[in-house]
Amino acid sequence: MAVYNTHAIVLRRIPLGETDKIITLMTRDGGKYNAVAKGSRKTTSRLAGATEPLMFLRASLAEGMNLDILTQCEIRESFAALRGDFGLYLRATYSCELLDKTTPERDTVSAPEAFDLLLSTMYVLQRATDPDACVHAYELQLMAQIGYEPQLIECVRCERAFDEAMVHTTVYAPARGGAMCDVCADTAKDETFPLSATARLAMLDLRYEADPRTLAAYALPEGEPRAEIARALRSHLRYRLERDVRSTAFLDAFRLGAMDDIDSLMNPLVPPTKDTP
Amino acid sequence: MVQYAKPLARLVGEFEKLPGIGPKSAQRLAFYVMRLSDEEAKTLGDAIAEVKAKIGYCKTCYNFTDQEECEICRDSRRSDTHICVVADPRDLIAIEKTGEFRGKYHVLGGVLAPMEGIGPDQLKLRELLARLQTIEAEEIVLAMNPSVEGDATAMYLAKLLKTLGLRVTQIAHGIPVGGDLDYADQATLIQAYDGRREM
Ligand SMILES: [Zn+2]
Ligand SMILES: [Zn+2]
Repeated sequence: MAVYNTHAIVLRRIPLGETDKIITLMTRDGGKYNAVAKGSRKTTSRLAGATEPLMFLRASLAEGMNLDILTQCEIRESFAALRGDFGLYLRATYSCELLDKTTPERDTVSAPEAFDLLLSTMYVLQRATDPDACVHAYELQLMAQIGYEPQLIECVRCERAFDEAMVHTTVYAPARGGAMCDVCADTAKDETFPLSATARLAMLDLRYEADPRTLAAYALPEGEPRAEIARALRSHLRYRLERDVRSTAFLDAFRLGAMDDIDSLMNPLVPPTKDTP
Repeated sequence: MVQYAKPLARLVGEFEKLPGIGPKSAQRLAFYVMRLSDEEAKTLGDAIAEVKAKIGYCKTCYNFTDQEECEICRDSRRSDTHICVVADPRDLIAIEKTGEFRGKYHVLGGVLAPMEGIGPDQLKLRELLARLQTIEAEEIVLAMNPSVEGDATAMYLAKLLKTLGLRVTQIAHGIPVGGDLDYADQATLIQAYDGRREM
């Protein structure tokens, strides 16, 4: 049985049998795949804590018949700050699930880029001024990596370039995958959402911002533009991904303050009217 | 390929649906059942039917019970104002076995698990909040598994319950008794270190 070492982020885990776990690893050189962590549900197992989601590991695995087997690991970063804050935990979990749902198994070509993006996002989240700016940057950059980048520079319909100085209000057309000028929006039959120039320019900033320090200090514009960005990206992802990203519902409820509010928890929740302006 | 007779295949199929049971184990169990006497097989079948017919949730704490209210909730010697919140009836049993806790319980029926789509609405959280409005709770003890989801659930509950002015505590996590520090996994050590206390 060949044994190899790799850097990995634990995206998720499911119980297997009485004491084992199947963990989904995102590795830098081997892409995303499942592995077995034997005995890791026993409280005395040395693998117990390390095989929990959000862990960044230096892992030793043995090639198995079906699944590789995690034999040893060393925690490189446990991201305690992300586990210690419910809002950050939700955002980190969402980031992991988004990668899981957009990454094919054992795709070694795109793996290093995707791995680096997720890892740096988790580090930035730990000290972000505005965690949602960090999440939106991640969403935009991940979409760009897999070829689903939102078109924000010119109108998705008439291809007229948006002048940076132009303060025209545009709309976001998720079915077309980008922003649309107001002229086209008037006659378009597509589902559209308002997208102010402030929101669009912030999205462009985040799409290209690669410096962790700048990202950690970045603050989204408050008020309507912030909601517009969230809505545009949410609808964009909904059109592009075949599978539901389940932690989305949580994150949205949390952002709306619905999870902290005793009254709304006590009264049966009206399903959030997502994507309606 | 030789196939099992239909009723046997069906039994194997049913066993396979059980948690932690793969095709091999399912076969083994089905063959075990085949070797039982008619009497023994009937006892097994009846036990399954009876559990489904008679066991429900306690109306107060959502523990399993065959009454309207479970034995613990009906026990007047136990404190009504100390509530231990657990994820699962099995956790309640585990804590009960220690004999340390003399209050009452609240069984959430799971933990928050964003990736599995389990949110506050899927747990008995609303019921807990409603219950806490009817009593003057002195302490809420959170006793969730030390998993990422268990910790997140405890963190979430603590914040929520503190807004109601309640005293919230969480069971300590750390090195298992009888374990070697040297052998403990890093994550546990980090947690145990964070939870250190003044002596
Ligand atoms: Zn146009
Ligand atoms: Zn009860």
